[in-house]
Amino acid sequence: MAIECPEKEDLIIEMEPKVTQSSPEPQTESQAEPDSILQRIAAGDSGAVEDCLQRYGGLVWSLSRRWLANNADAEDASQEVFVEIWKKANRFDPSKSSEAAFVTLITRRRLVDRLRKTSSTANTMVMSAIDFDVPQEVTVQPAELADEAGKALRCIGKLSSEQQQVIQLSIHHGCSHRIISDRLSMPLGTVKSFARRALLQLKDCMAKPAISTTDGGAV
Amino acid sequence: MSITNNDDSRWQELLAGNVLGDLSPEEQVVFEAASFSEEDERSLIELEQTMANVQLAYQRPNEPMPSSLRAQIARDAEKYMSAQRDDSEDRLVSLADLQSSPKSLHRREVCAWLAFAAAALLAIGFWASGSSVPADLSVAQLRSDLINTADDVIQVDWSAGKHPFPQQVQGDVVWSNDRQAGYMRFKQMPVNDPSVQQYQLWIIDPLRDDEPIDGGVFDVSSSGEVIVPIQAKLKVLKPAAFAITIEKPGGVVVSTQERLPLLAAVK
Repeated sequence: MAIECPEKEDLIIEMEPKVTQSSPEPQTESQAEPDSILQRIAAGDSGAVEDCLQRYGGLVWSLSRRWLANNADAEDASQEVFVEIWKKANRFDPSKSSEAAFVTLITRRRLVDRLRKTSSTANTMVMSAIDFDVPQEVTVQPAELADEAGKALRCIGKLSSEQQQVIQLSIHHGCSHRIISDRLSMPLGTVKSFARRALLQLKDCMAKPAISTTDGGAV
Repeated sequence: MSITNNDDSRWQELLAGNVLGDLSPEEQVVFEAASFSEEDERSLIELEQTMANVQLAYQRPNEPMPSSLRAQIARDAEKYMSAQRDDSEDRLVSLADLQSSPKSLHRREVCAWLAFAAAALLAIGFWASGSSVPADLSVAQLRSDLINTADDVIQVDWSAGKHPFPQQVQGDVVWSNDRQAGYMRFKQMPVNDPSVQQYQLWIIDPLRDDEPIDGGVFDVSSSGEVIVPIQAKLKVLKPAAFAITIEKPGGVVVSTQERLPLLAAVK
């Protein structure tokens, strides 16, 4: 398994998520509730499969590639993820989350499951064996940036820089806390504490209703 | 280490740690031993959703999925959806086995119970007790005490499931909702090799959800009477059935339902 964990100095590049990248009024999945892709799949509309692959294939594939060692593993994982999506489509509730978040959640669960089963490999990897993924930009495609993700972006901005680093490495890159500890030269216990408290803060932050500004933004 | 649900700050950190997958073995033990309120379960789901949204927020332009993979997934989907249309009748367990429950399961729920097991399960964490408990006095006594002292105990005999064992297995399940505790008893249950496969209990509780509740992974090391404590990972509201599947070592998050030898439908 090759978890791609950027060095600390590289990480700073994406420490300031560009909230303005999101559309002021991004199309929410709930607005398309009656015809959402997942609801069509749940209803047995086989034509929705192609739409689902068109919209979320790249998302699932990119997440799988970032977290897993090679294309073969990523392909296996992607297939598993979509099987899960077909099975769970009837559980999608547009009032609770966007489709993109729902798909991301399923993808994460499947990837975490795979990583847990191979955790011994991950833990014994030598640092030199890790391929670093240095992001060149932080652009988020508006089509994939649902309401909640935009809000998450704003909430991330309220975390301390250390917490942002830990959260980015942990959640975005799938790095173990031990690797994060090495990367950031931070005690393992501190990494754990930062990650947990940051996630709780993000949850609380996202539970608060956003306040729209006159220029179409949100705070 | 002792963390109680009343120690809210530390408990919340433990919930977050579980979602992040960073619990230490000691914390994992505490986590698994704890009872979860509905608020805790809601919090776990919110934490997972938060993580998904953070993931999306950081997501950069996506790399296109390879066309060959996309085609393969589309073919798999067609097979899956076709099978779904044809396969509702005997997907998991005979409906007849379950119709006798006071609140009979909808067919969709029956079909869904194993296939859709992952959601809450992953939020709680993946566990495998690996316990092999012969019928010693202490466990047997605990079971007897539960039967004798709990007012709401249900007791259901095992019956053959979709893929029965060659020989008949006897035994029963006792469960108390008030105590959120129960025991499985088996006689002549085939001994398993834990390095090859393990048994896993699922609790079907449609009142709670159409997802089954993981009742724990366990081994049987004796062909005589074996009593295994049930380790429900979520609060059980009204069990409609208990089912045993045979899984790979460590158990599974989503069962393929390929081997379901025993079933106990609550009447």
